[in-house]
Amino acid sequence: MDAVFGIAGKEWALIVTDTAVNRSIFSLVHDEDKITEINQYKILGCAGEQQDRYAFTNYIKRNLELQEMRTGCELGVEATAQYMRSELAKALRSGPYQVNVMIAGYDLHEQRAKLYWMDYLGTLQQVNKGAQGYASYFVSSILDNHFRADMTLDQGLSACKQCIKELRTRFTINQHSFQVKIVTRDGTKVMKDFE
Amino acid sequence: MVAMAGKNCVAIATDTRLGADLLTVDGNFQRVFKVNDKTIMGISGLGTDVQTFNSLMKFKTNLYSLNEGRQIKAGTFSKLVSTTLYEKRWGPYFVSPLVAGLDKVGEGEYQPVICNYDSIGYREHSGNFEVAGTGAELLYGCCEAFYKDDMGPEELFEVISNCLLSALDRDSLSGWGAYVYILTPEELTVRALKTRQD
Repeated sequence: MDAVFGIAGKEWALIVTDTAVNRSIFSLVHDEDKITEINQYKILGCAGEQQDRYAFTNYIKRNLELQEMRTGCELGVEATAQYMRSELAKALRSGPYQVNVMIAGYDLHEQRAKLYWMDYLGTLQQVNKGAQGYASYFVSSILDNHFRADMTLDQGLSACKQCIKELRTRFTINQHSFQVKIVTRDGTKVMKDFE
Repeated sequence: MVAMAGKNCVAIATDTRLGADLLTVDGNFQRVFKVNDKTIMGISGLGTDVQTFNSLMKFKTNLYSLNEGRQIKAGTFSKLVSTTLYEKRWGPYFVSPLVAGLDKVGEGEYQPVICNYDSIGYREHSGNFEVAGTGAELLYGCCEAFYKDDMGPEELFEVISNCLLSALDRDSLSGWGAYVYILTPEELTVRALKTRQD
């Protein structure tokens, strides 16, 4: 039921999620942060059960911090995504994390932004735009139409606004608030209560 | 996905769709991987296991090179794939790998190795062509009709591309781009095919 989607340009990447936690017919929480900031230049948007989300994101974030302390090097975005994939794949046949994620980051070595789509099985794919869960049925075609290789951040945000409008119009589940996190070479910017 | 043998050359052709049931996630998913200069492997099946299996084979071939001091031969690699799959007999990887390679049998003479596997490692090696994936049944007919022995690299490219494209257009779960990998003793060439984007 969670909406997680994202777009990446050359110098920026963003992830949008809804901020509700629902349990059966109730909407329990309206300001849940589903996008974890792994560090200043990498963010992880998660869709799935609250406990799996919490366990997975914290496990990844703290292990990456530990590795950075041990080696003194920060991993690039691709390496981080591959690490997350290997953790999901390892857990798959014993006790899978039921989280579908979008990973966005600004790679300081390559000097460009990257976005990855990963499902709970551990299928990892670098994409320019993507969505997880039911949201993908509504926003995929809007993102396909609006996306250009040389998009600016403002164009990206307006495409997201269109996506949110579509979700509000056509999605059965009422998701009234969304959050955006943007990653650029200057770090992460948060926009709560977006639209 | 289809693998075919020619004279001193082999080829694998694949589509590049990544899908979740009927929804297309991306049109640029890599399924064919270079093992070494004489072997390529294409893996069809569950996306996560494609990536896991590739990493696992890379790990095993790296260890092999360190132990043996040389690159693994195509025929040996094809058997290694089989045993690796059988290791997970009671909890298999949901993949159908295709191995295509060239084994040196003399000066300038190479024996092509074309193998297909089921998910638990039965190795099928007819020697001509093998097919895998959701469009496997569709590929059989085309390949049987167009295949002939001792094709050169250019002719092999034409034949394998036509077979793949015919099957691609019929199979609803395949498409969104295609790549053809031609392996000769000198080089590995990758060509993209223009396909219907649906």
